[in-house]
Amino acid sequence: MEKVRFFLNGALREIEARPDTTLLDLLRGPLGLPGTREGCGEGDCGACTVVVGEPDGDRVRYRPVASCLLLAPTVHGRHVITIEGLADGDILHPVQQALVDSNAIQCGFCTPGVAMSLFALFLDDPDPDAEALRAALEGNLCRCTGYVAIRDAGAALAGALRARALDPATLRPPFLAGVEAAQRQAGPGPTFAVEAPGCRYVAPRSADEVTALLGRHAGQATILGGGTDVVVAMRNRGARPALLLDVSRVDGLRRVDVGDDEVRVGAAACLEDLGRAVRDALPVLAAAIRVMGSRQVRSRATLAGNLANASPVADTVPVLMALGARVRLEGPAGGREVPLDRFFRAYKETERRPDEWITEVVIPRSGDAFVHFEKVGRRRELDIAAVNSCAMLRMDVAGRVVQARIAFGGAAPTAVLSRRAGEALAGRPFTAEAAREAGRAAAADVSPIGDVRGGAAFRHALVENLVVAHWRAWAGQRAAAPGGHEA
Amino acid sequence: MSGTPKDSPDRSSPGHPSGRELVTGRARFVGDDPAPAGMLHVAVVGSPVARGRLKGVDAGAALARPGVVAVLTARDIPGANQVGGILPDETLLADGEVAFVGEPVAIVVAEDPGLARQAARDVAMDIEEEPPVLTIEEAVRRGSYVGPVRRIERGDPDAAFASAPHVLSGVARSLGQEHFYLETQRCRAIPEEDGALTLYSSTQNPTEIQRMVSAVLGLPRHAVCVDVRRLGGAFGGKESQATPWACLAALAAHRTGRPAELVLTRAEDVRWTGKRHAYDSPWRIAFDDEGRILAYEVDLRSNAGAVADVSTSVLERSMLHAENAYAIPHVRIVGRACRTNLPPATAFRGFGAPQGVFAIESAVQRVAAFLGLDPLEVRRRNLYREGDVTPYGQAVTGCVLEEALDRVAERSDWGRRRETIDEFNRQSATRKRGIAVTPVKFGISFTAAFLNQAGSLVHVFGDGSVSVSHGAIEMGQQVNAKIARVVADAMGIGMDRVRVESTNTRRVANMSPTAASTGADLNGAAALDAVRQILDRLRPVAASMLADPAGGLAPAPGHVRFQAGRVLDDRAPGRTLSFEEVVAQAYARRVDLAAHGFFATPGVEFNRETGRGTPFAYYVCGAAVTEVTVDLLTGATVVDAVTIVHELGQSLNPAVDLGQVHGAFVQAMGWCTGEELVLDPRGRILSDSAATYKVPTIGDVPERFLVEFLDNPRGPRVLLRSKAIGEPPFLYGESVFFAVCEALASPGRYPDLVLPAGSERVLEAVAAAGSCAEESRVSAAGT
Repeated sequence: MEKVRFFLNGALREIEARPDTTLLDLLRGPLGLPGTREGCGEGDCGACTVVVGEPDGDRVRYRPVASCLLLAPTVHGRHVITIEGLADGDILHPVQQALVDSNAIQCGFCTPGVAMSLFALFLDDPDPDAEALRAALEGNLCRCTGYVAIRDAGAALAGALRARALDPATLRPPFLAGVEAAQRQAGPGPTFAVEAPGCRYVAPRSADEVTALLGRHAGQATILGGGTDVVVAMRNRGARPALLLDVSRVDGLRRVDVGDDEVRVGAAACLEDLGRAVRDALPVLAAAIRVMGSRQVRSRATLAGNLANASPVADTVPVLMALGARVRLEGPAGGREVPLDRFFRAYKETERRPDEWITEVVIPRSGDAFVHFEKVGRRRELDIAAVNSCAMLRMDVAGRVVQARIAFGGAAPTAVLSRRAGEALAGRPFTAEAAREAGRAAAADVSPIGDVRGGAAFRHALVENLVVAHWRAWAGQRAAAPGGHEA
Repeated sequence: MSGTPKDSPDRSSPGHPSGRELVTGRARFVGDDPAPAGMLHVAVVGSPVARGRLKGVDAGAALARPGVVAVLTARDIPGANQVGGILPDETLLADGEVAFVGEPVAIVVAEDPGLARQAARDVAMDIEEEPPVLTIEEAVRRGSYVGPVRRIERGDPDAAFASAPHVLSGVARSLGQEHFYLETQRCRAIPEEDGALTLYSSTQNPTEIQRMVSAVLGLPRHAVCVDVRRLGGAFGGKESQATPWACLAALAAHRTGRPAELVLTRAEDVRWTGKRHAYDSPWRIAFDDEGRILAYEVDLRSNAGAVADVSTSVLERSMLHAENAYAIPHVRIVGRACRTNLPPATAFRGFGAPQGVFAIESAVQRVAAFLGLDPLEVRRRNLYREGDVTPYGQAVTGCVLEEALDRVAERSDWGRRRETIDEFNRQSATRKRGIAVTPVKFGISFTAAFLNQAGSLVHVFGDGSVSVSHGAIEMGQQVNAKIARVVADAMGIGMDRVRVESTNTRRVANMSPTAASTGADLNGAAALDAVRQILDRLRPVAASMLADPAGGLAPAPGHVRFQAGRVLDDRAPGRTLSFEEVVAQAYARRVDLAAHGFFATPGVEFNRETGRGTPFAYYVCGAAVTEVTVDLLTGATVVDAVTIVHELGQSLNPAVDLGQVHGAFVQAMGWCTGEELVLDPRGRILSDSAATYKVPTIGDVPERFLVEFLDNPRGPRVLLRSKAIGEPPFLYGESVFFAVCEALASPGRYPDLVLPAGSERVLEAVAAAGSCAEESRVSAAGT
């Protein structure tokens, strides 16, 4: 078996591991580092958070990830930092010291994960505001503290750095520089593969290699982007992929190109990077990404994966549908583009053939249209939606709706672009009354079912109400605009 | 003199003694230590149905897998197949029938945990499924109860209702709540010499595990050692519900002769273990034009699940908190624990009190709405005053309820905020705000009087360092820090000289569970008892060392003081000895430097047949005000501001106590809003993961969150005048629910909401109000 070579808390390690083993199991088992803990086993609690460093251009990016969702071979060549690597001997890392000083520790089971999330945040941004702190910690569940002291710890550390009471250099463990140099020197390396009985992992370096492999193994290959869904399926739903085809090491596949008319998103770009890249160009997509999963999940999950999964409640889908995005597919027979509103065929079924893969998603920019995203779940953060919706409206100078594209997730076996809602608004001024009528019209385009996230009647009501919520956001924007007035 | 407000708790108080260990990942939880050689792993085969006849178990396919060592069923239990803590109605492994989904039917013991789980799926169960009883309503219809129907009555409620100016009635309905401790249930069992066993269990109740394991395996209790270093959260969920898993690990170790570990996955833990009790509580309240309550009756009906567990005790606490903070002349409280085919409901922070309080607070809220009075004012008019007597006959003394309510009104700016909110609601069509206040009076003590006892073992070593064993479990409430502080202060030494050991049945016998917020009170007092014995033995030694007969200072043990690491005679404080010197001398003189301490709370008793007694050592009081914004389009609630005034006494550790208040409130906020347990019609829990059961995240925490502690010089003299803190603040969270109700209320119409008020229920209430409004418009147009 090919060995996985990676850096662990500053030291180079080589370990034999089946490709379907998770990093969490490796850490707690053969690597003897039990400080990283399992709380839920599906990336939703943050107890197993570790930080992974990988070269990105001429610097090294450090991201918090859920080690329960990370397959062992995916850390090849990367630097895994666990809670055991944070303190420098007896000297606590500043994030650890802040947690102790703020009394942010009760039972302590979640504490290592919280510390790692804070560590990743402060490496990335030594001057986070309250919102950045919240976003960095929303993926770490704590059932004891009520989070107030954790929030205080982060704010106190940020304050100390701002006031120069603390040297920002202390945020970097002493071993980082050496590992970064070694990583840069090693470069990305050739195609990496690990084989074990019943399971093979391949991480090609070129798109052609992916396409060729898919041609040879159509139907048996599972494409691995960030793995945030594939690994949950393996751990909890008994999935046993024979071939894991990791596309995240393909050259250039992580890029996000923001053009004047379109944004082109490479298949391996993680949602966190995408959200940051389109903050100005496509704020509505950035907003939808902000409420998806946790920072740990967004640091791995990809847009292509979100689409390929074809979950009816995927948060990016209504946005991309409303904007008129296209999916680029490649296969041995060549490439093609499919408009997203024709990509989903049925529940968890897409136009993608078994020998094809998504290489790119192309999203038209919305220009001066009004675009807005709404999501309703049981909780504000870190939740899967009951219903989500995105509206894109273009108005003429008289304020009449020229074009309205309103899409909904969670209301049918696939996400739906509501033709009726668009028709109900066309040619009219966008008013509360018009929105309410469009909502009622949209209800005829959907067929929600009841499940653990909400009943059918609830979802029906939401479809109707969310169109009004779009109107509310539009009216709010107008009122806030210079010279605007309350609608 | 009234309670003195004490601003911002002292943040300089000594921190978590294990804080450094926890934050570096070095602290060990069960399962973190390297596995002993040959350790096996246990997976549980749970019943797939909620009710049925178990006709057979076929383990052939499972046993055929290489690496599977054993499959054990009820037949393999050498002792009693019984683990019911209060009532003997709970089998360890199902025998002849199954009564809830996940009831353990068999265990698979294998070389690795993944293999054990795969093999568990291969175990075939022959079960003849029967229709389950799932609801309180159905259980009441069938008269299916756990324990007897209980009553507490005072005065003549029937006459009071008949003659009252106003009577309102309703049903207070609250669902269960999953504990969601981050560390799932787990136990590692290690066989020792002579057939003995050592168990490392994540339990709040080591003695119960010792008792049950010894009964199940047919061993004397001295052969079963239970050791607990710390828990990764518990909140009551590991008081009785750690027992079956520990017994199953012990059974595996006992039968195979090898160490065995059982760790539940998150999904198993949520599906199979008990929750907070759901309650349906029909209530009726009589009152006058000023909102003074004349009579109250409530029928507290809990969904106990399939076996008794601690349901009778939980129900008792509901009944003893049914009147909450209010003096009511005529009262009838009925309590019934309904037996159904759900996993056994169990202890959860508040232990029934939240549900009892929820009913009366629902009623009072309706009274205020009906009369158009300020809900805070209505509550003030009905508060207990000094010397009032509860319906069960305990006098309410030394309470600061009125001070707390006044103070919380002032600090939350109650009157002005109500006006601001009314103004906001007039302007806003799709978002509404609400504000609510909840006063709390919480009784401290186990209501089962015999549990109010604790032991300790204190060793002082030759170098003056101290080792303390006690019967409380460290589970994040930092009881170890509190007890270390008690010991260090009494001995006059630094906390760094005191080490608190794991909780171990070999060092402290016959412990009570760490529950009912009594852990620090009881065990701190027991530790103090041991320390005093040792100090009493050290005094004569020190007195002779400090004596100066030539200078006229005769040895006087009564004048010896231990302070700041020094020992001195207070008649000549200039000359001091180090604590270490005195200890070394005592050892040389063959003085015993170890002591066992004991404490039993004096004076608590309760007769559940008559519903009379003095069940509580004291009450903890306080009040909370919460403001929310509810989105009428999405049903989403945002908690905008919280103000809590809480009576603390002389805190042993204010920073720790502040953390308890924050944590309890946010946990209760989850219960009141987003934490929805979803069941299917066959009694299976569908919300069985972090992805489907939503506990609050950091983003749900209110922006403005003010906590103020009240000292209470009139309060009872408990341990160093500190007061229990674990549970009472949970009840403040109910103000979130009532604030949502207020946001949805309109004149003449109060929403009929079930707790939790999640987005789905809120939208239902909005729809119901909307259709009513339309109906009334239609009928107004028609007349």
